Amino acid sequence: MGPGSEPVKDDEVLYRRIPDSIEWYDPSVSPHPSSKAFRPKRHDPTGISLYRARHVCPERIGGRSSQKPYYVAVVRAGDLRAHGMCLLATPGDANGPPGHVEVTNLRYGNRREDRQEEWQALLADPLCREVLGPFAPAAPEKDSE
Amino acid sequence: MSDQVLETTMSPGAIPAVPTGAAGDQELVMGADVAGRKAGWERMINDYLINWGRDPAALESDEVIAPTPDIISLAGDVAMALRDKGIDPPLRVVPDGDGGVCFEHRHGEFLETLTVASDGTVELLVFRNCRLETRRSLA
Repeated sequence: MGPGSEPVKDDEVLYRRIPDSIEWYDPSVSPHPSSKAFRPKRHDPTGISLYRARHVCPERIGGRSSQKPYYVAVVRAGDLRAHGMCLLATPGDANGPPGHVEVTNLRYGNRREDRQEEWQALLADPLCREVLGPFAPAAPEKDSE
Repeated sequence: MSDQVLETTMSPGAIPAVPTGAAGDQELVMGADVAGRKAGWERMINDYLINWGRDPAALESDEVIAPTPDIISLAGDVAMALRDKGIDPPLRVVPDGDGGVCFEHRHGEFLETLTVASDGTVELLVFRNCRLETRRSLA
């Protein structure tokens, strides 16, 4: 079992990247991001992406393709599970930051269903415990462990 | 989108008029509140929608589909209609990530999202404590 493939524990802190340029988070407007920051996009066919704090720091989840600053929303795995969200460790993408996790039942194909709309609202507020950043984009390390 | 639908689905602006005992004063407070709501909408229109229309590349990202100028223009029409109806201005206006534009209102335990989708349809979602209570197509 490689680093980052072990099951996600309930007490783990997870990060969600929020592009600064898209207006989904503005600390002068609200301490919480928009629910759209947690909406699956076209490149999320198998679930929205989160990153495990035990494997990567917020400064390293910018990704190589983006050259824009970003914020990081902080959530806790057990909170997501308590509302029915399923977490799967998917560390396989060698080009991305380590510690990748997908919420497998919150994906592009079901993003408009009632429960998934509720989850997006929940993730923005109250499940989002804080928002960190902004961070400048940086090339991710292959693994932090 | 009909005026009646707007009036019956969006939360009307609360009018926290301070009772002063003088009707004239109350009218002034209400007038100031109306002006404040209108100014809030104007900020959303000018600072976001018009700027996005002028510079669509500002919303370009490898993660989202930016709204087209036509959708931004339609969102502007919706915003002006809501402004003229005296509806509270939204907390924020944001791209929905799918080529649409979303107005997000929060009132205590309520979250309302009014989305102008990339196909030009308009949908209102009302959440109470994150429980979806209303889903209504408005256009």
